Amino acid sequence: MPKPVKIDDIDDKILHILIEDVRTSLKDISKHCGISSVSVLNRIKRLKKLGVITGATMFPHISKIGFPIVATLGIETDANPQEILAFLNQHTYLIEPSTSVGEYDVCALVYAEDINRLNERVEMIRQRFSVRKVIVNVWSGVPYMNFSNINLRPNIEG
Amino acid sequence: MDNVDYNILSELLKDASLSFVEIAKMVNTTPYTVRRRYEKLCKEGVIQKNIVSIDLSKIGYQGKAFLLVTVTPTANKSETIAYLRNIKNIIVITEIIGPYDILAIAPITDLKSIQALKTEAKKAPFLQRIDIACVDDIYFPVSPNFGTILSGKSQALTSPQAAKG
Repeated sequence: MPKPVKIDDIDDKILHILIEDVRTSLKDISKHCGISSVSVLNRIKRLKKLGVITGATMFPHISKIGFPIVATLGIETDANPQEILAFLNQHTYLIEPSTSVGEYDVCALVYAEDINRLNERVEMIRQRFSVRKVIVNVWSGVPYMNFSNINLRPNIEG
Repeated sequence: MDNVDYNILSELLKDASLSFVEIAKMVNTTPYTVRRRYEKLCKEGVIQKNIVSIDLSKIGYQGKAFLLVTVTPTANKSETIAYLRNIKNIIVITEIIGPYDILAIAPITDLKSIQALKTEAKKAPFLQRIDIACVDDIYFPVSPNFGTILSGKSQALTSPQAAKG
């Protein structure tokens, strides 16, 4: 594994501010971190160049834009997981595709317009691949997202 | 919401860090209008959060662990959730309908970190069982697919057919 990018205290602070709100102005970030706006910009540029920052994600209220159903699919299969992911990608609104170690062989997060559509897709996967089991976990209630809880320097203990 | 709202949303879904001036150019309106609409969409709760996207592999993570939690039949799930969400690195937690009761997601570095996570999570109240699926996905907060898919969707919603349905 390549060596992790070094994140110092100020980088850590900047990233956490951007996790809270990526649209925070340079001026506000500079105030919080006690460094100039130019330094903030340079640090952000560095993190982009090193591939740590890859962009910015907006979280909309998904049911307000037509996706009330979120589900985590767990698939147990002997088929090639990549083929299943390719299929899912083509036929569903696949958000987080992943082959998995542990409970399932493939673990995927999908969105759906309604429960019937979700069911149709699950049936398609069952029929098409030699799938032993598809486990559907539909998200209910309001998911609690706490992205600020991430440790951005996992290799420094304590 | 009207077409202008959807167009603005669609651009922000592709890149949430765009300035109002840049968005205005793309959707053929003025920066002032974009700002006003943006503020309205935030207030209505349509736009919930704008988060920087990070490649977790660059800072030392190898993937994510999905903790699939089963609670006791008489459990007060909200207490279990309240406990789990205080564990460092758990970034998403939700109730689920299916074979498990609660799903929690946390980035992981190595076997030791999975072990530590599980040990912590096991202390949660009303806990019966934890199953773990580890995935090699290193996107934070979600994969870039998310914005692309949803922006396509919000465009579809602007067409008159979608409005009828």
